Amino acid sequence: MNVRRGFSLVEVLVSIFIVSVLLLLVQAIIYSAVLTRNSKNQSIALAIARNEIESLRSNGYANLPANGSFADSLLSTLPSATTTLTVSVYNAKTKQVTASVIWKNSSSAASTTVSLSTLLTETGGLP
Amino acid sequence: MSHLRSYRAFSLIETVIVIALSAVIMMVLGLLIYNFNKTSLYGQALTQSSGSASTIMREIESLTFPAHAVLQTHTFPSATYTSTSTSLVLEIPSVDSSGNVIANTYDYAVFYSVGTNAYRLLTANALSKRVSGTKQLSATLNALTFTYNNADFTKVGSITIDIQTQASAKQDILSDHRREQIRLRNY
Repeated sequence: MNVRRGFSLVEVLVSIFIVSVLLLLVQAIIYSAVLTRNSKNQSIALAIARNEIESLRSNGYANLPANGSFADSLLSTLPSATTTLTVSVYNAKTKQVTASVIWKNSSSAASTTVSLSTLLTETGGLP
Repeated sequence: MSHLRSYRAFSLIETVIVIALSAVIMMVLGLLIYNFNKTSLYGQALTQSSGSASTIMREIESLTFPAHAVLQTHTFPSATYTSTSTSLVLEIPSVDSSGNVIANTYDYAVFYSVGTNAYRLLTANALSKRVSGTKQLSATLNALTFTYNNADFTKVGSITIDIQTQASAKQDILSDHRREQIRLRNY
């Protein structure tokens, strides 16, 4: 009778617990690597947007380009990255500029966007 | 029967199964620890390279925006530094503790690199709220390049900064590249 005994409930529960802890650990490791890579991409995208805003600001109000995209030497370091630039009239002597960088993190199908926005005035800019 | 059973040892097949199972579990655990170690080293190197690139960029920005001029050469208490494609000497109007510019008083800063280390040396005027000293910005520098918009340093109004950092995690080499054009706001 005793020889044909199966696993007890406690044994099964304990083994399931151990296996699930191991799986969770594996999942956490993979996820942390993904997070680190995404945050690096995000900081590059932020640097690109910042640089564009800065260069528009230094070129002055009169030289603001039309809506479209902009180029940056760092774009190639982001996976399938594109940029958009929106210049809209805020009031008679002010324009609102929004620079966005859109890229795809390798882990997800959806794309991620970082955008920065600023106001540029006709007078009082950089010399 | 029950008396016999209680003294029964493991049978050969049971022992073999136990050894096989523990070997498999050990292998899985070993692999897990190896991967964990590798991933954490990778993450550390990634943070080092990309983090220090950002640190250098922020620090250069924070002193270049308020700068008044790029100096060709300046004598700091410790040594004389010259602006070149790998080092940048700045003259920055001093500001007092309430944020007002002090007329005709300047702080001097230089950014330079030695090997893979990047440093910022700042000499502030006694009245200035900026704090003098040398600060190490990175230990994973690969290349730091300054490009000026004019060959004559007295006419430089904007600087292009190119930073490349590199850290290695075992056999992987992780690099990071930042490039930004900064215009001197007080030029």
